[in-house]
Amino acid sequence: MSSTEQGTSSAAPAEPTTAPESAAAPEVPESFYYVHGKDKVVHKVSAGALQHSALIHGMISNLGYTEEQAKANPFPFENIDGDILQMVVDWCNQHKGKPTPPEDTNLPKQKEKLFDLVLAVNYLEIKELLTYCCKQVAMMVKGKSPEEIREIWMIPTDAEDEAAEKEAKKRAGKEAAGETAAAAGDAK
Amino acid sequence: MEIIVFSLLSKRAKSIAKQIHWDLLDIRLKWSCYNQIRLKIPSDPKREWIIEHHKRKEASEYPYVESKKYSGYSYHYLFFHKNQNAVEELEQIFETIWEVFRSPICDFPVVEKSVINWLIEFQPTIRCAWICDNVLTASETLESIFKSLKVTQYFRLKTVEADIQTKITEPIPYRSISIGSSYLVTLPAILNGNNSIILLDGSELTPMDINTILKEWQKGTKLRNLEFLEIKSSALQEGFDGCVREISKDLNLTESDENDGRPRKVKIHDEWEYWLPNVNISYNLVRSDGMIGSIFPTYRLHEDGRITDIRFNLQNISTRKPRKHQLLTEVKAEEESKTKNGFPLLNLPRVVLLECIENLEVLEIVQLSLLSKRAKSAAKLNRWDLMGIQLILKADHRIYLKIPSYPMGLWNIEYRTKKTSECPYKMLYAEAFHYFYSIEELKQMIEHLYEVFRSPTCDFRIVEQSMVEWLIKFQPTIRYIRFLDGVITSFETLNRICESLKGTEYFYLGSVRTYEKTEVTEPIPYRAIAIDNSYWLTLPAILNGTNSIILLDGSELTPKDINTILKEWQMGCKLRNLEYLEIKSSKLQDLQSYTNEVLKDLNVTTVVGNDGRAMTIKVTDDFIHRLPQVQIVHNLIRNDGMIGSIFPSKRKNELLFNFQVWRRET
Repeated sequence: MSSTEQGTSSAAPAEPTTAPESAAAPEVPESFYYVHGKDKVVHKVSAGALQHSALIHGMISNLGYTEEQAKANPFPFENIDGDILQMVVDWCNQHKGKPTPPEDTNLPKQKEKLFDLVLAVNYLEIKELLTYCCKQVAMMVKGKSPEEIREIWMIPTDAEDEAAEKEAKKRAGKEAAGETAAAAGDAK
Repeated sequence: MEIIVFSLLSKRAKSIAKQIHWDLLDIRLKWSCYNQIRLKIPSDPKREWIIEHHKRKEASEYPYVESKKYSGYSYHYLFFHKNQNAVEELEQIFETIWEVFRSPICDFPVVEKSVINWLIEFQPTIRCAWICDNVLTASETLESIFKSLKVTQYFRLKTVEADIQTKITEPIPYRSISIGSSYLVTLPAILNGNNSIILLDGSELTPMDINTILKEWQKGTKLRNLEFLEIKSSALQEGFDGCVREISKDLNLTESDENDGRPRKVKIHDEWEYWLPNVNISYNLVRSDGMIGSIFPTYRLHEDGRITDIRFNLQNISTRKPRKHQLLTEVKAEEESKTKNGFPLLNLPRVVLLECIENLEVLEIVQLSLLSKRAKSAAKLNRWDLMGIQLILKADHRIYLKIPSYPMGLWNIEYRTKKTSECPYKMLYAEAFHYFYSIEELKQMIEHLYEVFRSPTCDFRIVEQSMVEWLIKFQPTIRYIRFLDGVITSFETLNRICESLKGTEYFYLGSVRTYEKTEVTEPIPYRAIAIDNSYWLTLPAILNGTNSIILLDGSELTPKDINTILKEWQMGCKLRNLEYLEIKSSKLQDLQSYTNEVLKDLNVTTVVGNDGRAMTIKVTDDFIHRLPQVQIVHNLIRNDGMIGSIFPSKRKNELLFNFQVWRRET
């Protein structure tokens, strides 16, 4: 588990409550990086755990930050809710340096949370976790009737889709008209 | 309250107050009958803020704030001094509050005629409005309200001044209406309206009028939105039973008890659910779209035993309330709750969606694809085509989805009403989505599955001739095709099939249902053919063909014809592809003389037992033809070393000619 603390990006984070580092490699001190989500809560995560995320791994591989620099420059993920980022960080820590098991039963059961998690995981490019999440999404409809599937996956009917499309077009038209009027006003 | 007081101080104070996003709190603004302004937040139903005028204190002490608690509810009052201009002042306060909180008025009781115009000008669209007793004195005002004020949920008109006599003949354009002086409301106003809830008190509608309403409702052209109608009338009191008889005249009503599943309350507007009277028996009227109209007339007795009024209720029931009856706010609320509890699959990025779809089973993909066009596009991301999924249409309209190399790879889409546990296959039952009522729907389903799985139908049983043209257009190349008995009714159709369907490996044709005495001389252009009642297939059609397997039942080929076939085969110019020929003939003949005729002038060697030939013939992947066990076989050798084993046999009244081509393994 990573430690978290409320504050801004400049705040110094506390040490992790558990130390998942392998005892076999003590000579090379492990480097840590810092990430925060929408809630600005900073999470301290080891480079080993962050390897799960292709996005972050790509970002840090050539940085060569010192501990101080890393602390001072946490990676901001403003598009990810704090609790979701916490889940992701926890998962990365739990699976650091370990082969990923075929199933993961610790994923959130609430559908809206899972949706946010899927988006975050996809954004952070954590392949294994994305695979688990997608399996979980598919599991939601096991043995369900079509109407239940519609409800679980929020599939609108064709009529609802058409109405939404019409509404979106109307809104876009209005916005375009507003912009044109504003531009004309500016020109005057 | 502080915000309200502050915003009333000056224009600048109001501007500052407006900068706070109070609209996010979804404040509900109401004007009560007692000339109060009431504010409520739906998420905190036990608190209410009330602005009121009174004269209990010295004028200088106003305005002041006071809070009260009652049965767990908190009421926070802001009192203003009541003077002659109290209503005007309240209007101004109202406008300020409306501006600060950006929250429209939900409910508005018109207690004075003067505020009607203000309301129409200030907020012409309102959720609920009611006109209090005797506020209206002229029918024109009513017309102007109907024209200018848009009420989205509930409109109540209490009693009007007695001198209003002009009847309402035009529909009242609101969803729920409750009319106190409903002697004004005429039958056309009801029939031509779009109202969902109609409550009429003091109505002068006659039993005949009500009968007309019921008939029109049942026809389905009028009163399509009606959910509940209640008519209270003292004019109906001329004998309750007589009224009921007249109301139900010429209607096909069925009696129903209290446990028929009918809801016991009706939603008049967001905050008011109306409990229906308890009755032991109601009468049901069923409309062609399945909607049930439950009718339950009741009456009220005066102390002296006189019937004072009769209440007639028509409640429209369906298992699910049609969406068009739902108000926009209800739809929004429903959508919001859905967002909270669901997983919006189609909003996922495409690459993630693809991975989710890849984790779905075949029948889950089918179910998803049938939900909507967008869902179908998502379902099409599946990769089952890489597994070689095949579509098979069975004779009883079952569709199989099959992966030959995958042991569990057989899924069945079947049309049943009940599930059975005996079936060894994974099934998608018709009740899970829908029945195929017609061949048209079956065709659509096959096209749909073809599109979703990008997999052509590989094995097709045609049960109706009408499917031929569709098949030629939809999928002119098909691996296995079977035309069941009597499906083909003309040789013209057969000709069309042979010309248009290509690449077929197995062609089965049941009896051709025709009185034509045609002889077919052109070969059937498919690898393996099995033809029942094949009296019409002539020797040239066999000799000139390139078939590998020929199974003929009810053939009229003579032993001499078969002798010709054997000779031609041995010569090697014709029937080069032939692997197996079986001809069944019901013409009674002695087996020995038949064999002699067949083998005439042929140089055959007779073998006892099996000298190395296979005992089965693979016609299709699923159809392995087992050859009859015989003691004696006559072998014919072609100059390329191929052996043709001849073994005629007799089974009941049928003579069976078998000719198997094989090569001895070296």
